[in-house]
Order: sequence, then C-alpha cells, then structure tokens
Amino acid sequence: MSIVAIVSKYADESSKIAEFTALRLGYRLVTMDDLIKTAAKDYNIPEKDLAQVTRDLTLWQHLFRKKKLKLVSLLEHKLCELMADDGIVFCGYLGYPIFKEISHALKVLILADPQTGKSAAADSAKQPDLLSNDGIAGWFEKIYQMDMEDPKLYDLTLNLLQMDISEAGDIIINTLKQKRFEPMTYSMNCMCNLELACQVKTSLVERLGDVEVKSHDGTIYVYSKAFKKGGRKAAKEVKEDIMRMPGVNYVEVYRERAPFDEIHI
Amino acid sequence: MKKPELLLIDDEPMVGQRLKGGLEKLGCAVEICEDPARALDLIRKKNFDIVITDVMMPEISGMQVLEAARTASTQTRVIIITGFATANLAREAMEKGAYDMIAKPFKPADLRKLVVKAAVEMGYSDIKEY
Repeated sequence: MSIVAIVSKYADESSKIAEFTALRLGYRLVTMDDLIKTAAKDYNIPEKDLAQVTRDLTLWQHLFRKKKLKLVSLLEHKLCELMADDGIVFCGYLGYPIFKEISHALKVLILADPQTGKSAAADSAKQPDLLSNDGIAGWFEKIYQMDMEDPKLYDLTLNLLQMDISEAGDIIINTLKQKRFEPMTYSMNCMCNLELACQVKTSLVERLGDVEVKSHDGTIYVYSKAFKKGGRKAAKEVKEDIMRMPGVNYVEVYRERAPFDEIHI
Repeated sequence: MKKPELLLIDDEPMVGQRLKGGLEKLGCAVEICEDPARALDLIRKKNFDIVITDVMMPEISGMQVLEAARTASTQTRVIIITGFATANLAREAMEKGAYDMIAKPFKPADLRKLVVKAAVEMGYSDIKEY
C-alpha cells in the first residue's frame, strides 16, 4: 500500500484532512503526537524532550544543538519504521527528506486561510508548548533548509480557501489511485535503505553534528565536514562503529556534503 | 511444457552474461540483447512474456523499450533495471506500464524473484525459484 504525507503549517485543518483520508482509505493515521508518543515509548526517552525539540524553536539557538539533532533523527527513524507498515497517512512537519525519496509516497501540501494562523498564534501564546503556524514553517526551514510552502516540494498542493475538507480528501484519494504511486521493489528497497541510513545517522549525529547519511543495500556513505577537523582517525573510528551495526556491509566516509539529488537523510 | 519467453536488454555485456544462466535455470527461454535498436525489432516481431531492460543505453532508452513492449502487447511484463534510479524515474516507469523496477547493483536472486512472480501471474505455474 502507498503512503500519504500531509504537510502543512495549518495543523488543525491538515489533521482533519488526514483523518478523513485515512478513514476512507482504511490506512493508519499517524500524527506528530502519535510519532512522539511511540518514539518516547520505544526509545525510552521522556515524551516531553521529544515534544520540546519539535515545538520550541528558540531552544535551537542555544547549547545542546547536537542532542536536539539526535532527537529529530530518532523521530525520523521511528517514522521510517512506522512507514514499513502497510498504508499510512502521516500528518506533520517532520520527515520530508524521507518522503521525497519514496516514489510511492504522495506528498501533499495544505494551504489555508492565513487568518487561521493568527488565531493559532494567539492559541500558542496561551499554550507555549504549541508552535504557531509560522513557528511550524520556521522549524521546517531551520531543520531542512527548505521553504515548507514551496509547491515544488510536493506532488499535490491543496488550498482550503478553494475547497472544503472532504473535497481535499477526495482529491488525495483519487490522486493516490495513479499507477505512479504504487509500491515497487525499488521503492520498498528505498524504505529499507532510508531506515538503515536513519539508524546510522542517529548513532553519529551527537558526535559529528551536521552529518548526512546515504545507504544502499548495506553500503553506508557518511558525509560530514567534521572529518576535516578530526582527520583520518575520526573517520576510521566512525567506520569501525558503523560496521558493527546489523545490516551494514561496507562504509565510506566523505568530508563534504552529499552530492545534491542523491539519497541521503 | 511452454516456457516463458524472456528478453534481457543491457548494453553492458557483463549483465546479460551474469544473469542468463540463473534465469534459464528458473525455466525461462532467455534472449540477451546488447543493442537496444535490435531489441526494438525483436519486440515488434515476437511477443515476449517478460522484458527486462536497462534505462541508460546509447540512442534508445529503456523507457522507449518499455513503451514499445507495452505497445506490442499489454500482457508483457516489463522490469526496469537501472543504475540511475530515482523516485521520479520510478514513477515515470510505473506510469508507462512497467511491472517493477530494481536499482543496480542488485542481487540476482531479487530479480529472479520478480521474474517468478511475473511468470506465475501469467499462468506459468511450473516456474519457481531454486
């Protein structure tokens, strides 16, 4: 079964569409809250820490950035694991680099009335644990260096100023019927590769900070500027550590960023 | 016993040489072709059950082979093998009627599994993975 990823800074509206779509397709609905709860339970990490890292943007300016990157990486790894189950609708602002590599994942951007943003901003002022709509977009840009509302990132952009929730849901369901969104050996293998890459990245991010990892059939490619400082010794240690992980056959490390367009997370 | 007719197209001779034996062992009648232009002629003359094709080949791409094979017979299962796999290419292949796609390098057993699945779907019940 395919995957639907609904991304939006309008959390209320997009979660209603996700709920409608999941119900109609018979898919499992996974929200940001579900993801945080599952990851907290499975990794034995306080839910509060995971929630905070996805909600409090100001914390990213301060110390412990590597620790926060690790928590995001853990959430992405958990998302990969959840996607391995048959048919999910994910609604949230995390995991874009994962979805973009999976051909059977339909990526949907939801736009809504900006006035909704203002009321949500007021809500977030009352409830500091919630990100405002602009806060969500800011978080996305900070983590992924991309404009969340750039339509080029998505297969489908739906504007709720032009349609209601059920119409948006119907469009998603009809689009998903296209043959291009059917799973195939390549895309299923991509998911396995991404899951392993996420796992490796999680193990490295606290040590190296900004690191990109690519995986193909057990071969791991690690890209990090941190190798420039530590030189050969650091690279050797990283290689040895990764080689001990299950499913890894070979490791290559690079001192630069991964080439654009290549699969990395 | 009728064998599934399989055509494997790859301009890199090593690929055909490496895969042919295993595919024949499954019970397929295998033809290898390194020249995609010749492969198009073969596809027009003969109805293959399964076509396995590379994508990046000189002059004629695997996507053109896919279209030709699906035009010749909608029953033909076309499997794409490519070293330049991307999500966009995978979607294009599926939209044009590909049966499946595998990224190179792959394990020959993975391809054999796909061939068995396709052949069984087409009614060749004697074919099985060894």
